[in-house]
Amino acid sequence: MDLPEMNEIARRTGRYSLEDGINEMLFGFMLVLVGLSCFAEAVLKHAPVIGMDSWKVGFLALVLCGSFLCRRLGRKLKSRFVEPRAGLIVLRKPTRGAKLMGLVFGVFFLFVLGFVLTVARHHYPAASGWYTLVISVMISGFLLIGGIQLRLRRFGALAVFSLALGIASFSLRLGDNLSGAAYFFFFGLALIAGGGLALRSFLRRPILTENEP
Amino acid sequence: MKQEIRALVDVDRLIHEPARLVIVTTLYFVEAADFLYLLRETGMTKGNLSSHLAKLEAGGYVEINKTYREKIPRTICRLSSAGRTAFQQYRARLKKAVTSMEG
Repeated sequence: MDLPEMNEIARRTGRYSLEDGINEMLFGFMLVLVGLSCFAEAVLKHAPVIGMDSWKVGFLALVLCGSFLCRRLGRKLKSRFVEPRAGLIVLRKPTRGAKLMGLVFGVFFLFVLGFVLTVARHHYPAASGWYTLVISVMISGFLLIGGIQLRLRRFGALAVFSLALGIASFSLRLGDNLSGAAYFFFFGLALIAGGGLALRSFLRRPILTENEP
Repeated sequence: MKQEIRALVDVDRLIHEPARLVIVTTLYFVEAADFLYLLRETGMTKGNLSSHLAKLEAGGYVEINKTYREKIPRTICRLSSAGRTAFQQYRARLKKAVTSMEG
């Protein structure tokens, strides 16, 4: 077998968990909540009743509980809608070396991100909304790389949208909180819409049954 | 005949058959896959896929586990360690032969 064919098979297994759009919709829903939470922080910042500590705890609880619930819901939805149409695969667990590489890459990435944000703040103290711009560029990059590797065209469109949204929210000079709120909210909506369209076309596939293999 | 090319004659014929090669390659990239996934990916008929899986199971390359999901039968297939090794050897041998022919 030619190597390109093998690559195509590997690509299809990589695409399995993304082609139905369910994970995208759930992640989009989480981002909408994060956006609303950022908006609440920006609006209620001066309210004496709500302290910043309670907001931070609430935000952390939202992210952690939301991720946990989304994972469970995602599994249920996949079992209900995806498995009868596309079957089931269990992806291979990463080796210890791969986990270590991931950890090193993650730490390095966070270091670079922190450095970029610090330099940006230092050189342009008056400009606000840097965080949102950097996050939008990062998300666009990830989406673009993923989209090219797995050949998912809608990821390319989402990458362009993310970048445009990041630039727009930075240009409007809304401040860090409001620009973050706007970015996460609208990008979350875009993910829900993209995932919804993908799910709609996925559900057109016929349901397969396994009589007796 | 070059030695590398002659080695092609000794390729694992259980894997070399195109339909089985697709099954083994698909299973190589995952921990496990069910019958429906393989059916969809390979484009074979149920009977054809079933017969190839049986041959691979008999050769010790594939482990098959039959379970139920909400009263619906589900067949989970995974590549055994012998199957994984055999596939890696098959790939290496084929690559070597192709490289020697090109160079």
